Amino acid sequence: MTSEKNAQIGQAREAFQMLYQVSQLLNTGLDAETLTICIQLCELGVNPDKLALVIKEIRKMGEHATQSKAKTLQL
Amino acid sequence: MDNANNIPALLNKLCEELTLKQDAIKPAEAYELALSYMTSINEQHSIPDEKILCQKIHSRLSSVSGRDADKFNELFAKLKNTFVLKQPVSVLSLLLALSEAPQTTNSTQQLFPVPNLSIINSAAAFTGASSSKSTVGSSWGVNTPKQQNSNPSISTNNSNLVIATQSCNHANEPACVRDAVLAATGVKARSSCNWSRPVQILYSRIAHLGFLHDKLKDFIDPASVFTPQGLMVEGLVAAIREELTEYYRSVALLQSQVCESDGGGGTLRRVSVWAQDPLHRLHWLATIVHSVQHKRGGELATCVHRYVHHGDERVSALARRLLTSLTYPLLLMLTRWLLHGEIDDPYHEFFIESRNGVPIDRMWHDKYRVREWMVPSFMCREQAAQILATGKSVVFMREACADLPDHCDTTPDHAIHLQSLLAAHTRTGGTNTEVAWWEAEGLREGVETAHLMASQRLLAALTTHHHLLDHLAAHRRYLLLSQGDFVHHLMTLLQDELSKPATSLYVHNLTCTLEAAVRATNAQYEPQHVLSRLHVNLYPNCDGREDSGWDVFALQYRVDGPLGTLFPATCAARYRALFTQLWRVKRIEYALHDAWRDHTILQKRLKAMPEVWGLMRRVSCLRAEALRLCGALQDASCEGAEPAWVELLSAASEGHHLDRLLQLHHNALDRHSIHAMIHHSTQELQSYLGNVLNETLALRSFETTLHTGINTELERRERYEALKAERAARNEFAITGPDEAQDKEKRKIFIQFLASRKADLNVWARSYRGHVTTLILKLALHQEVSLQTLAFRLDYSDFYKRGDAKLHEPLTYQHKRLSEMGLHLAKTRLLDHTKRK
Repeated sequence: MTSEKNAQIGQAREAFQMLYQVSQLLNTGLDAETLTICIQLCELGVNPDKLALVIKEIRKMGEHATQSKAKTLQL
Repeated sequence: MDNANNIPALLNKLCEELTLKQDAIKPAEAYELALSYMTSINEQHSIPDEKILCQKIHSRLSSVSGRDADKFNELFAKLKNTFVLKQPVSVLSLLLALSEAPQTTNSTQQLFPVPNLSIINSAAAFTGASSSKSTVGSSWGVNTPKQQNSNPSISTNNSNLVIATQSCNHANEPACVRDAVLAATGVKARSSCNWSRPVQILYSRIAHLGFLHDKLKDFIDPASVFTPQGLMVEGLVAAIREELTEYYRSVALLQSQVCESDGGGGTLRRVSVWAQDPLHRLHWLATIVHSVQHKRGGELATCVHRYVHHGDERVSALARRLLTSLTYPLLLMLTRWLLHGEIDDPYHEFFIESRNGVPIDRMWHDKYRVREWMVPSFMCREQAAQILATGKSVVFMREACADLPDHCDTTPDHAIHLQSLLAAHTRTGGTNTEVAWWEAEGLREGVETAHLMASQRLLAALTTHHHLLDHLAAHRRYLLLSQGDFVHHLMTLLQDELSKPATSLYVHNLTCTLEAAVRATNAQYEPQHVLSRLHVNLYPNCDGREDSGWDVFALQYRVDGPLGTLFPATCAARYRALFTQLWRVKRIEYALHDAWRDHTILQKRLKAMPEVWGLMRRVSCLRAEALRLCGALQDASCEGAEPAWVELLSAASEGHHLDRLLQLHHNALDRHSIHAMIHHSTQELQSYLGNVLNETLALRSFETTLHTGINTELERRERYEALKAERAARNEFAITGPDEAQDKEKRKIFIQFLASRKADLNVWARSYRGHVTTLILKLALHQEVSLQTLAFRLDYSDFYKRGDAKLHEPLTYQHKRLSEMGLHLAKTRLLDHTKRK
């Protein structure tokens, strides 16, 4: 039982490593943690396009915020 | 609803993760945003097709780099085998959506049109094959993504057709395809006789790959006799080996695709479409290899460089890659030569050749040489000469000047330049994105600065430590007789000594005289390193003639050490010839002046001898004529060479490179030789000038005999007068009969002597004028303008012209000048005329 589970975990880890490599190849900018969450979400049947949109939006928000901050600092 | 519960929690976690890095926004805000997006339109999305997604990702990657695309293929294949993920496609599509490629428009172009095939089986195979195709294309093709794309899209249309038409051949197709793939690597197939004709044609096309492959393999085979030895050939072989490795990889991929999709997937036609690109590549590789056979070094580079100018971009890039690889040893050799002056060229491939057995004093001129045929075509001739001069300077500094380059602790500019070239090469490994070293701007710049630095250092060392300019000036002063006081004094001291026969002269006596002359004149202020090199030498003729001292005497300026290589023996010989000629003219002038002195002394005693007045006057006139000619010759020789010397000295002070200085020095010597008429272009003039000079010398000996004759007559008369006076004092008869008769007899003899001298003088004058006229005519007809002006100066008052009809010829300088003046006059008149109108 445990060995089977171990094998499954190993397989999962391997699969994750591959996906992580693909993610790096594609230059997505996701770190390992975020990618894990994303994979989990996808596994749960979340629409990947929407998820991508969300991540992009959050990033954009962050950029805007930092830019405005920098502007206020300059002023 | 475990899932539904988990999603918000995970989303929250995701938001936290994302906002961790950016502290500007709160996780709560992000979470709200995420929720609003997630819940906004809750329509069911269509899960994209795995194949299409896969191809999208692939094309995206391959647009950046082929290796990434291959890696992705591998990963994807593995991913498919693990069954942990339930939704691999959606994860991938997420990743794709997040991927940040700069050009997103390109990826749509690379998208393969989805084939709507009736045979589903082959559709899968097709995607496999076409993906392999694009793998091959991306790793093999260079910069032409569009071309790669066009081929597969054609192949899709074709493949439908092939599958439709070749269904009859379906049975033996896989075997045939396998054979074809084997044939592509040069492995012999079993038999092809029972195939249909179209299949045979396709097969033969693919099999041609095998032939080309074998040819290349022969070339890179180290045991092959066709490959000449050499480092640059090794470079070429390495590059070709790399190309072949790529080719093997692509063939292996193809083979795996073909075997995988067994059951009709890989058709022969698809393989043949795949073969298009490798065929082109291998064909050109084979052409290049064929053309470089039996070539080495620079020739090889030139040969490959020719293909760089090929119109086809693929061929050009291929040749570029090969050339970069094969010229790497050349770059190493070049850098070593420029920086250290060393040639490490075991296979004689470098375009600079070092010759063995050249003595150190011939080093500058003879030791190194450019092998013209080895200069690669991307280097111009001037560049090769510069490179030669640079390395030569470095070697010269080290060998001849014994100057170690270590004393400057900072790395010179050119070293940085060249090292950056080297570094660029080793860093990029010769990829085609960067500019190769042989066409980089840095090469030219590096070579130029290296040349400049090396030549300036050399020149500085030569002028400061080795007194190059002092020696040049000394050559001119003492060997070309421009130090007037010294030359005159030396001539006075040597006058008697040199009139003796050559066999009774000794160098040590003459050396003492030379030292006396130096001490007595301004030459004593010369620095010691100049004076210690000034010597006397005798150059006896070997033909057994009875030479006088004048013929064999010569001053010599001995240069040794590093300068000895710059003033080699040929140069010394030229100086000697010039000295001999100038010394001769000087000596004749001196002799004539001597004659004038005798003449003036004699003149005072001639009051009682009116019968010689006429002759003396005539001799005096002729001597003045001859003197003027000598003066004009010397003036011309000084003035003619003056500009060349000025140029030389200014170039030396401006720090031009040594080769330029040597050339200017050579020019100056040439000018001197032309004006002394011992240049090879003035050989005819030399003999005429020799005639004139000989005649002038004859005048001197004529005067000597005349003066002795007159002197003996004078003394006889004085004795006679004294006798008369003595007798008168003793109150005897002053004159006796026999005395008077004897006196009369003597006078008669003297008159006869004078008459014969007069006749001699007339003969002499005629022949002298004849020679001078010929000389002037020849000078006027010479192509050298300064000699034409010399002719004009020798006869500025038209004295000789009036005496000789030949000088009226229209080719003379005067005539030309006149006619030019006439032309000019006519032009101005014409202009005036038109103006008036």
